Amino acid sequence: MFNKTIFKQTFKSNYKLWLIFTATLCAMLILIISRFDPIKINSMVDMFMSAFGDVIGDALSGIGIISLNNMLSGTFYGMLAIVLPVIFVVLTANGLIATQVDKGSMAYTLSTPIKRRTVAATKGTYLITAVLCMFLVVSLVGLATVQVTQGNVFGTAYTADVKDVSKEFGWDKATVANDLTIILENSAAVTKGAEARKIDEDVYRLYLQQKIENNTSTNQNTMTPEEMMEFQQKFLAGITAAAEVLDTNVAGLTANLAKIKNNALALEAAAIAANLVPKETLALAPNEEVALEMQKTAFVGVINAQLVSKQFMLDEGLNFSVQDYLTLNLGAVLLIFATSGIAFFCSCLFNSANNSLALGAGIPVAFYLFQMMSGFGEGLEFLKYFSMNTLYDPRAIVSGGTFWLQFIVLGIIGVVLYILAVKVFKEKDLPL
Amino acid sequence: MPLIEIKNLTKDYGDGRGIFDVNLEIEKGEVFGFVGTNGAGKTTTIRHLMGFLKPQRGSAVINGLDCWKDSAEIKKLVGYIPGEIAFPDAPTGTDFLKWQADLLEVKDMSYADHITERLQLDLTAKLSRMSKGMKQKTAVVAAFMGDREILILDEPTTGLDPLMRVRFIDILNEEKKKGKTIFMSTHVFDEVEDTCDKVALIKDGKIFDVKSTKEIRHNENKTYKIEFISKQDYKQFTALDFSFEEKKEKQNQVIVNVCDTDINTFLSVLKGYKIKFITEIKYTLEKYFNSVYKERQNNVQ
Repeated sequence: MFNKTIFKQTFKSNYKLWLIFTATLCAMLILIISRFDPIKINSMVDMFMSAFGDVIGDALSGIGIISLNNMLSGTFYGMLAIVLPVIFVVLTANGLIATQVDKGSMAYTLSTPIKRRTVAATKGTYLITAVLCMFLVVSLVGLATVQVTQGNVFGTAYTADVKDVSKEFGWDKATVANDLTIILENSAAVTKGAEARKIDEDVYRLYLQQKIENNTSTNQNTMTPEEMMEFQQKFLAGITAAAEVLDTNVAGLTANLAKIKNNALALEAAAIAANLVPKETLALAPNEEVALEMQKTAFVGVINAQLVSKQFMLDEGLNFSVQDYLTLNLGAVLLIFATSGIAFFCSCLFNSANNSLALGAGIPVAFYLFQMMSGFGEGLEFLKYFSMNTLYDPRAIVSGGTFWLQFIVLGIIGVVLYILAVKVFKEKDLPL
Repeated sequence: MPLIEIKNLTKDYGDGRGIFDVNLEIEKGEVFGFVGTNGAGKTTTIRHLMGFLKPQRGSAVINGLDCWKDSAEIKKLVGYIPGEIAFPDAPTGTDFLKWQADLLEVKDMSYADHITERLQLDLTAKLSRMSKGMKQKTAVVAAFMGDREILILDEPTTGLDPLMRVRFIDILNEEKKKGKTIFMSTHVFDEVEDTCDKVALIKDGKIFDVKSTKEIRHNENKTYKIEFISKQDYKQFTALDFSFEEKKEKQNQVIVNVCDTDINTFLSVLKGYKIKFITEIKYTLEKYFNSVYKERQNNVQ
């Protein structure tokens, strides 16, 4: 069933393609992980949510706060880690059998005392090995990159403030992280910590208090969706007004809200435009000046809350689950294994390389498109039943959904296709 | 029992294409020529012998083993030159032969080197840059290096220049002397005449005739070309009752068929004439098959 010489020769004529695809995937992964910045990403999500509340906001709200796992499940494992390996397996599978039958060079392999079954099984083994090795390398490179850039694959990651403060005062990092009151009760430590997090001390204090109370959900959502929308619109109006005063764009300012706080004119404009204080409360103000002061305080309060929530996002984003990450890779391997089964089966079935490529590539591409379209709306949701790709749901893996059954199905599909491929190749007429 | 035995082998591709009820027997040590035009069914028959095609009906057997079921086992006995030249992705000729030797489990390359030398082949050249002739030579080396008992060659001289063709036929005759059984397809009659013991003609997928080359060459019916010195003699001679194939009055030439049993009568008649020359026209395979073919067609009509 397996021939070492054929495997060696197959490796020699195919390893270059493997190298190119694996290197490309690794480069993309390194880029994505090293550029990951929880604050930036989450404020972008925020902005989308406030700007296009309905459309994209809804789609994104399911994700919650974006951690590295979440982000990888959406970008790398949702797309790149599928598309590139699919291209790789389709090209390789086609070259392993169909091209050689079409060209006629298979005649040389089959004019030796090696059984057809062995030839097909050995070439199939190469394809499976190539897929496994590709994801093994990608997983390891991913873990290494996370360790280097975020430092939390092995051991605990400490936030920047805990690290800096502990170093400055000679405290133990673990102790400090477990009891943040140590920082809060020492004003020098607060200054240092705020500096490390690049935020104002008052925001930092607020963050510490909330963290100590273990009150992670900063958005105390007692508002109805309508009220929430109104609130967001008001806030956005405020930022827009401030952006005009500061002569900058809204997106940039959203990412750097502290700017508004530090500029009296901008703050005033924003406070007036936002008009956050309810009318009844404003009516209590003795004069215009007090009323304006109330508006300003309200706006600063919201900004501070936003800034604190960003700090929480940063902390969340640092969370990295190795298990989830490895599961993402396992799922991708299984999906690509099953896809390679389709491509390999086509390669064994057809004597013409063109036909093999047309179906071997066509089916996986159709699966990918169906999966994408099924996410576009209610009317197209049924398409997910026509796509094998929906059996691999990266989002379900990182957000605690079910996926093991799907994994098993993918594995079975792959195994069955490979067995059928070898059988078909053994029994068909060859034009050699 | 014949070493190679093809019985009622049929593969119908529709539209009259394919092979139909092919029966052939090749004895051990025989060199067997398989002649036919392009598309006559030579390659289809050979593909069955190599186990690439499954017979629709009938069977092909080599050394008692079924060519379809025991195809891998049979390859231990067979060296093969495919009809089409397409090599695997090895970089150079040397690399390719090394790959092939590994697959064939050939450890000793001295025979391969010998053939390479005979064919004056430079194996260090890149496979993709090789000319048609060089590729064909490489394929020849690949088929012969295993020193297998049986050689199945599908149009082995395609792309070889006339000089190399002669060299190749020399090599074939050497193999024959070693007692190898050779099954070779071709559309060039000369090749067959120079090497083969037996010839089968295939036409439109059917075996047309199987003849031993000796039989054809030592045909009792001979053809002679005679030129007379005088027109008078020419006229007198042509009036006689011989089987004339052609009369050329201008040159005073006749081409006449004479059976060996009548040769003495023929010579005694000739004694009375003054002739410029007499020469035997060699009977070729091509001629033979053409005459048989014509005869059959006439019968059909």
